[in-house]
Amino acid sequence: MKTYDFVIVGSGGGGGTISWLLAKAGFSVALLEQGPDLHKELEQTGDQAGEAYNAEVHDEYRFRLRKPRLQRRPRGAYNTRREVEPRTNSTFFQDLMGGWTGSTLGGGTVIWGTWGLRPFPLDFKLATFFKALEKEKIRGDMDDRYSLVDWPIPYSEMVPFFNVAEALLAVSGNRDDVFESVRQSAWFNALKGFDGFGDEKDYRPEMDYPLPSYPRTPVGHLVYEGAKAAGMVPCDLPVSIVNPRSGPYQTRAAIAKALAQWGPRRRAGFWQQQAKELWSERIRTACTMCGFCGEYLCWGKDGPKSGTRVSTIPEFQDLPNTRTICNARAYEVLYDERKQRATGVAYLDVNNPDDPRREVLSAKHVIVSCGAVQTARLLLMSGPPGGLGNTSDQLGRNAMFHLFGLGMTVFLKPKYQGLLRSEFGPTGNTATYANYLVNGGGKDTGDKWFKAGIFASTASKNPLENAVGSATGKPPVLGLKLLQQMDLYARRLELRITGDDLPRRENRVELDPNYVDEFGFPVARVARSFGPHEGADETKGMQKVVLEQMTKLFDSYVKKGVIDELRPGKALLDLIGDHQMGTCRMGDDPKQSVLNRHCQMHDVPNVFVVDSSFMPTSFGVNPMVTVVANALRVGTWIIDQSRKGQGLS
Amino acid sequence: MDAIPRENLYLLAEAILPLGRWLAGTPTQRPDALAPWRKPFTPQLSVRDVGLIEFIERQIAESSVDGALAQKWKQVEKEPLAVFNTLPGKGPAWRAARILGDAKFGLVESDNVEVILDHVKSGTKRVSRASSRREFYGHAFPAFARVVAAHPPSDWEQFRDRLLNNDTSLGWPATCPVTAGRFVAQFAKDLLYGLLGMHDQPERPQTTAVLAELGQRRRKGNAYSVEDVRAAVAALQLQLP
Repeated sequence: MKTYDFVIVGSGGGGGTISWLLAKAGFSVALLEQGPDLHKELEQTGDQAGEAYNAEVHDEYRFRLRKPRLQRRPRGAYNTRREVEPRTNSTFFQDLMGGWTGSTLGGGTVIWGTWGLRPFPLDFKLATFFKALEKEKIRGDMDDRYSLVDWPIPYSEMVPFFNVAEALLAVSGNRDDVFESVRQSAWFNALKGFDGFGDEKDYRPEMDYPLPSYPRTPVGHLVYEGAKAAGMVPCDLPVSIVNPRSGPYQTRAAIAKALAQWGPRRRAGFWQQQAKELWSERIRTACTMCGFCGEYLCWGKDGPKSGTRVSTIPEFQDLPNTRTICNARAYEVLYDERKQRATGVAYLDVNNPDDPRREVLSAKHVIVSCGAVQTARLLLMSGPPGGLGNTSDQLGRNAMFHLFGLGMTVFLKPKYQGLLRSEFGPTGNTATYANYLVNGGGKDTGDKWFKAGIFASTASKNPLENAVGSATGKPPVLGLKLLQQMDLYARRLELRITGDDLPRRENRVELDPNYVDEFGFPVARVARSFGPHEGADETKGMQKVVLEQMTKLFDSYVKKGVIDELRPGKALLDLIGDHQMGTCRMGDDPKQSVLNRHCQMHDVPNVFVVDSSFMPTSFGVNPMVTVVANALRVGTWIIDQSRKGQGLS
Repeated sequence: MDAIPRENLYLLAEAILPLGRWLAGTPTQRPDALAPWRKPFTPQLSVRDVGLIEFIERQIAESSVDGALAQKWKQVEKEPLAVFNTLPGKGPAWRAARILGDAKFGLVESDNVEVILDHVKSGTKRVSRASSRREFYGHAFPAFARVVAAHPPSDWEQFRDRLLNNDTSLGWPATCPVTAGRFVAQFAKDLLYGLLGMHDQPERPQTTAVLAELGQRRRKGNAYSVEDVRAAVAALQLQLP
């Protein structure tokens, strides 16, 4: 049996990126993906095969609502069960909310929302920063169940990799405007200088985004102008889509710019190569703003929407020392207890799901990148009964998911019917960083600072899903009322926050004691609670302050009679699918972390984890840029170590 | 499957989606004010114009894949560890070492299946089971036809609610594996799929009339230019005070 240098499980932002990097450096690499290569399938079978777009996925029913089928389930449903407090209130296997992982070649990067955001220096030193605020008695409440730590690496170590990640992801945005939104924020001016805040100048990365801002839509315009009127400096949301204004995108040229920014003397060995040695002449076409991206699949033939399926994976597949295996459901990282090393991966070949076949790949090293929920599940199913790399009982703990649900739904007056035109481009369009940290300033929250996150405009893109939800809700809404609700949906928009979810020990992924997937493996059970910092509901903690700020953002429209209703929504514990982070946190102390700073398991040094599981904190921005950048960082370390002949153990 | 009671289904569909009444009550300055379904003073739009029952008939005809899948899940529910126990190193000892209890396959229980029968007897319990549309409506349509024949409705909206609430006085057959309420819920979902889905290129403007009325212009294969977006922003700005 062939022994690969690396077997990589999962083809999303982490696995899909590091697979290319390691193969490019000459290692033999096998990439496993649990789902099919939907892109290829649809290109061959769609009713407009060969044309620029495939109509099969341009349909809310076909893509979002048709329940998963064994043969084709882009959302990787039914292997996650969520359990929230109280523990009796549990649901499982939900495809729309829980376990929203991309089960297709490209993983989560195929179905993600494309918000291409970097975190800030303070995000890497949040424990230190919060300690400084605590000393001054201006930190939002926390209890002893939080497990906040600093990252073991500084922000500066990530910067060159952020630059390359943004090149791979074709991020469209305006760096000066983003920085203005930060620089003029109350939090920035009140808190700079505190220990852990970092250097002010690092809040404006030197490298510009590869592409200019995405066109501003009607929904984006409303939020942009509302923020301005409220004294919150807005900006266009950086999105990872080839900008329709920019024409075809050359990843190679963008990489060249990122390398130039890095500076030749500082570059590690691998990155001393020229961009033309690293990347082909492959071109990506510009977005046509068809509106079926965001939470859909984008099937622009050459990938306006960024993801590994249209960037690193084709480059990976061009290399001779690689193998891509789809429909491969990994169920065990094989482990030699005597040598304390992983020896490969066992998986079920489910090309015919009615006749799954066991296969084994032998490997010198294994890299796991299945998303934070499924990575924890796979590792818990591997090795000794307690799980692989879990001698400190940290595996699966400190799970974070961002505070989804928290936001404001805005209904415009009937005269604006049809003017929002929610169909243009991705869901998010404009944003403000004014509330990355929010100040209570009131009698309940005091003059305290809470970590919050970016506010972004969000278009309502799913009229069918909304209507079906009403018709089958409790109580169901039918008849004229149903049609009137559909009307209301057509003139609504949302303001959402990517709300920082501070780590808590008991928020964790375990193996479910009873429920199994269709092949008999335990599903992942996710337990989650909020603490006083987030606030148990919308009347407390960070949630309360965020909703006050969101109300303020729409104040000018309310006064002018544009808005019918502002409907606040609280953070939902059971929304655990979209951003999964932290179940295998990295750190220097093996008793408090699963991985070391190189994302290598403390217990099993030939196993790495490169999806968002490694993140010690979750930031107030979407994690994809960080995941891709970190995969590049880890891959670079692996290559350097090997070239130095130092081995990885 | 028996003959589909198309006429009565259309009457029920009208009670679920009274498009004509809705359209008559909407302002005339909506996006498609000059559309063919908006004849002056007489809005012409109904579930019949959109062809929703025909859409459901097509769904039923295409449901063999769902049927096979439902069958598969039924097997997995019976023997959730059938595959697992055959794998090297797995089996009862593996689960025992991890202190795991009895294995259950919970997909259908989670209601995360497109169509389910909700009334299947299993011992003393009644449990849900995944189904295909062909099987589901194969049970539900005859029951519906029987109830309509026995209680000819004069007010279809009231009748719709009685079905939805499983009103026992209607005499919905107790032996039917689909309850009346579940039937109306699934039927409403399928009507909406037909109404708002972007399944086929429109043969007639009415097919996508509701999407157009709502201002949802997304259709398969569409594309916009930067100028389109600018114009849309300008149109909104023009209306804002």
